[in-house]
Amino acid sequence: MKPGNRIRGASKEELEELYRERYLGFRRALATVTGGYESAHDVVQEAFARALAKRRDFRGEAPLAAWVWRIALRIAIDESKKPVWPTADVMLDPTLVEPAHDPDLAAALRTLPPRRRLVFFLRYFADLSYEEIAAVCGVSEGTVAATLAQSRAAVAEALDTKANR
Amino acid sequence: MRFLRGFGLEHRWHLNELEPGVRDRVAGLDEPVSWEDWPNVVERSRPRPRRIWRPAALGVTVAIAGSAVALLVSSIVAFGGGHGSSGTRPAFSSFALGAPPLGPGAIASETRLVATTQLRDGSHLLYVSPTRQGGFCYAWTRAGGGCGQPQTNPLSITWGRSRLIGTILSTQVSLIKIRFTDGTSAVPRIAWVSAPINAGFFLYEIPTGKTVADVYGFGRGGTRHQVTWFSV
Repeated sequence: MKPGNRIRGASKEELEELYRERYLGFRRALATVTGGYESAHDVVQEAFARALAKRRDFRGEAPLAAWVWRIALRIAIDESKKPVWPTADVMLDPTLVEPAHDPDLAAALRTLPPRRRLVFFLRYFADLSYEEIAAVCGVSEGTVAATLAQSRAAVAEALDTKANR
Repeated sequence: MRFLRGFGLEHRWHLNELEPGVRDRVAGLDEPVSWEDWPNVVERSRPRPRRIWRPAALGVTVAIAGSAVALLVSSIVAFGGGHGSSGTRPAFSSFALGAPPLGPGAIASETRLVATTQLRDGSHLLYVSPTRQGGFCYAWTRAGGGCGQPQTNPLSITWGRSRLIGTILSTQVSLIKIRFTDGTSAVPRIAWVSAPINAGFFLYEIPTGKTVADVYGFGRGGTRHQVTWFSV
């Protein structure tokens, strides 16, 4: 076996630690995909359960959090009967769970294209690093940085425009 | 004594990248409180049981509690809700403070807040306490609770019109499934509490328009099972 193909595997302890540290971020960001916190909780549980069952398959080429996130997004997509992401050209249409809580923010986020919105949620709702987002979305870290910069500017502008009306 | 660890304060480092006006709005979005349920993840990662048995005779006793019809396993002593108050979940070190009286024999100094859940009427907190008799007492705020003995009924359910309150002996049951009369089913989230309690607890809100047909408890590996069965 070539060194590059070696499977690192993940331990139960690593997954439990990731779960305990990042559960809220997983649930918060997944809720924008599933449409509710209850369903998001279920997806988080199932994602970590599958990760636990298949932990020996983790190659270690990307951060563990990114690997679990990809599992979680696939589950969320399967549940919503949408095309598999990210191989298909998606796709997900994440949005605030309760737009009525802040309609202006919800509208500002809706101005972002779905994929850019997902990157925004992964960064600011799930608190993922650039490296993790890049691994989840299959893009470079530079693309993540550029996408986030554009998204921040677009959201701020949309909110400013709304406020100045 | 080791109870489940609660979620601590989380860090959202990256919010500071946002403009202050945007940051404050994102941080201010409301979301329900969370559960501690890594054990549930572990259970879900195991192969599902293949066989489901459904014995009819389970030795349950029936009681009427208030206006709601309740079925109570004989080892459970029911007592009313309304204990304590809902609100922000305290740090683990302060779990014993402000805990409600849980029942006869409960050791007040060992009472812990172990879980919270969000129903349509707001947050409900779960307090659990060991008893001097070797069992445990528990209470969901504004919902009710009871006391139980280990090694008795693997699955105990208090059943109202809109909610199920359940306890599970973790040594015998690892997964719960609620089946509705329309053929659909649900798997409630379980708050597992380790020794000396060794039990799981759930408070489940029955979806509007649904009627519970029965509740199953599955043993580990499918080799053991216990069921509480209702007819409506």
